[in-house]
Amino acid sequence: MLHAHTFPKEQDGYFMIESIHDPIEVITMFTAGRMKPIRFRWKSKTVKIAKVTGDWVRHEGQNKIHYFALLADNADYYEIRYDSREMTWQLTRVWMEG
Amino acid sequence: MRVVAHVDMDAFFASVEEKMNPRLAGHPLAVGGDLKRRGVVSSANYEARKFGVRAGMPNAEAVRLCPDLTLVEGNPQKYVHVSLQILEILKNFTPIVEPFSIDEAFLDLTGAPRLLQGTARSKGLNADAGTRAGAGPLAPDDLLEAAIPIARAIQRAIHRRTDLTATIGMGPNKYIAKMASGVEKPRGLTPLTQESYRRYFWPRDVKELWGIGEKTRVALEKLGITTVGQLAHFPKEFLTYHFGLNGDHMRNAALGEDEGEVVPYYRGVPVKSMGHEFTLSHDIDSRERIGAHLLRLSDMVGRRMRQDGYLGRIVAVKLRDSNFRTTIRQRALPYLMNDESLIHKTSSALLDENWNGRPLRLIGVSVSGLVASGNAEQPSLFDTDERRRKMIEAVDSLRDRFGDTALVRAGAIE
Repeated sequence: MLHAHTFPKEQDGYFMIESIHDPIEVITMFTAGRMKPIRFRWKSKTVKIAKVTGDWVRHEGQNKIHYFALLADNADYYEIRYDSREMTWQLTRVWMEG
Repeated sequence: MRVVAHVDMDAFFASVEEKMNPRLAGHPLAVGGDLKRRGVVSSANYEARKFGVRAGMPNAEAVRLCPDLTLVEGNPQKYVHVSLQILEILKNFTPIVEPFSIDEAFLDLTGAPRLLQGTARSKGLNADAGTRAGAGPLAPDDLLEAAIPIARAIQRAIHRRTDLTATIGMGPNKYIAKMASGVEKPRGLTPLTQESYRRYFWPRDVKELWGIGEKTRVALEKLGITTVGQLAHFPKEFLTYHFGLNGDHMRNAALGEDEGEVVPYYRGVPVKSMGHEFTLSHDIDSRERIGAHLLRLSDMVGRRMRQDGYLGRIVAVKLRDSNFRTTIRQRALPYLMNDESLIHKTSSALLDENWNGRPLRLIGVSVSGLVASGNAEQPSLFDTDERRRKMIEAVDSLRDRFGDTALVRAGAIE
């Protein structure tokens, strides 16, 4: 289910942020005690991650949910989460040119 | 003579969002509360501020002022994470760091190893004793000047590690440092001695003082006090007569006097109250629905008090009606507690006694008069109600394991 929050104007079109809760498959690198997502598959599309711009953790009881803010190589912005108890990945937000 | 720095992150929440999503940069941006409800702006970037968008303003008003505004829903975990990173950076400069809020901190640089070394030594100062070799204590100007390179190094370190910018105010105490950080933003660096503080602020409106709101400004105006300088020169006894203890505090503020120490993070700052409030998605006038919100809020407050190890005795309810009229009423209980049922019972009674029936747009519940559970000298209600204590412990234990939404009170479900 998508929720459009904002429609800020850009010179060459519109940006749009959407809250999503879709399962995704993620290739992740574990390095120096940290997780670093490399690319993920959402529906039938593969998104190559150019940069992890931020990460944070949310606690749900004893469970830790790891969040990552990502810039794709086409400059679209994504937020994904890893549920460490369920060992599942989800796409939570997308910001792309509409 | 001390050197205190107040580090204030520039447009913190908005800047974190821009850092994580660089496509937001350069456009008017505000971080708001729940976008599906009628939240308020908690942070706006400088592009949005040009249109008059300010923190505390309802989201809808912000969008009216700036139709091209991008409004992003706030994410506290994200900001706490970055705030902790910044705290780690600050600790490299001095262990005496007092986190003042999620985006502000005080640092006591007086004993910082870098102070008076380097710059100060090159000026012929005695770095270890804080004195000019053979010439007595350093003048306040010298000490502040010696701290400027440290402040710049702090700004650089924050920017290098987080991509965010900070403004720093410096002074001989916390109050002057805090006021100095408001002089020039963003990326500002303002050192003020007590003398330069007075020179700068005394001609200004009293409302510029930290801690003086609109009501106090009006009350001061009735006494003929409109500038900081007038407040500083007003007889102390008159101010105390009109404003109680606060009168003394206000006069000290105007004089730039503050004895408060920078309380290091590892010592912890005593918490005075804990509370939660909701801006409702639309105005409601149903007692039953308001009651459900009160129950949920009471549950959140009680849970947080137990998690952090506090008991309290003063319960307050905050109601804001559709005309933005805010009413806050409180009641002291004869015992200490952190039980949501008692918080809810008391807040419900306060609601029934004080609600005028107008639709409400905001509801809040808080508990003050807090004492750490281990330090309570007076008996708490749990001392006499063992069954209730065990029940709450069982609920807390389930929530600790599965999260706060694992168990929800039936009455709190709308």
